[in-house]
Amino acid sequence: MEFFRFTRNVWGQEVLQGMSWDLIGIFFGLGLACIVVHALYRFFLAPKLIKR
Amino acid sequence: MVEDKLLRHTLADRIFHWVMASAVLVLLGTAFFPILGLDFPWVAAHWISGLVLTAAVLFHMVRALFFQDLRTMWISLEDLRNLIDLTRWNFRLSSAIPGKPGKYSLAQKLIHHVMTLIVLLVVVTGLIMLVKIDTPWWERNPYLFEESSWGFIYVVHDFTAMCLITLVMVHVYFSVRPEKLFFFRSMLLGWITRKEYLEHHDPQRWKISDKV
Repeated sequence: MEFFRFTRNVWGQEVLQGMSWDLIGIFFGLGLACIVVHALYRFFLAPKLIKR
Repeated sequence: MVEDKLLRHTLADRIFHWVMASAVLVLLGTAFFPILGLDFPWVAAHWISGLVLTAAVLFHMVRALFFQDLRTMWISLEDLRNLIDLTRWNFRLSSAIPGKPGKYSLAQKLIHHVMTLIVLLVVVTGLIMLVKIDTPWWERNPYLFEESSWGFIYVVHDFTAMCLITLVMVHVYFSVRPEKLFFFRSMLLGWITRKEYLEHHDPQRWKISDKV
């Protein structure tokens, strides 16, 4: 997986063009992982407050 | 019995929040859908919503700095003590119920500060990138910076934009969780009930007087 995108300018030199779009899935997956882990933790493991 | 409704977010703050949310969603859609294969003329919608986001951020900065109490957003020692208590309680190392926050919890303060940093970086780099496109006010000038400098600006813009995907997902998730829905309602309608106030906030740390 690449972290950066590169292109070549008119002189054939490699120049930085930005972050690799492969990372979109990583950031989306990170968000999803936070949500799933928190939801599972809250549902199964977190101590419950007993309302009186 | 009709419950007391207490003001949590003024109309100006709610309008700011939803204008910012709309602008960010349009920006993310116009940035990433074309990359993912859904091609449409996205450039104009992207820079116009970028300017809307910039205006919203400037409005909020002026309002927060001069018309609101910045201390409601500061991370205090009490927040850190509550975090330790909350961690001990979660790991069942202590049975003592952790203390309540003021207007904003530590998690809310943290996501606000991270969002502030990310949005400022994406806005500043986006504004710089505006010089590379034609707008009604100027013609494009791609030679303002050297290629390597443009590359750095693109990297910061791309990275912060992708961070926004994660942040928006987490923010939306926490705002629609059952126990947090009253925060979501207060961002729509402005108020929370007195019962919610006493249940979720420390009245010593957030003194609330405005009734709706």
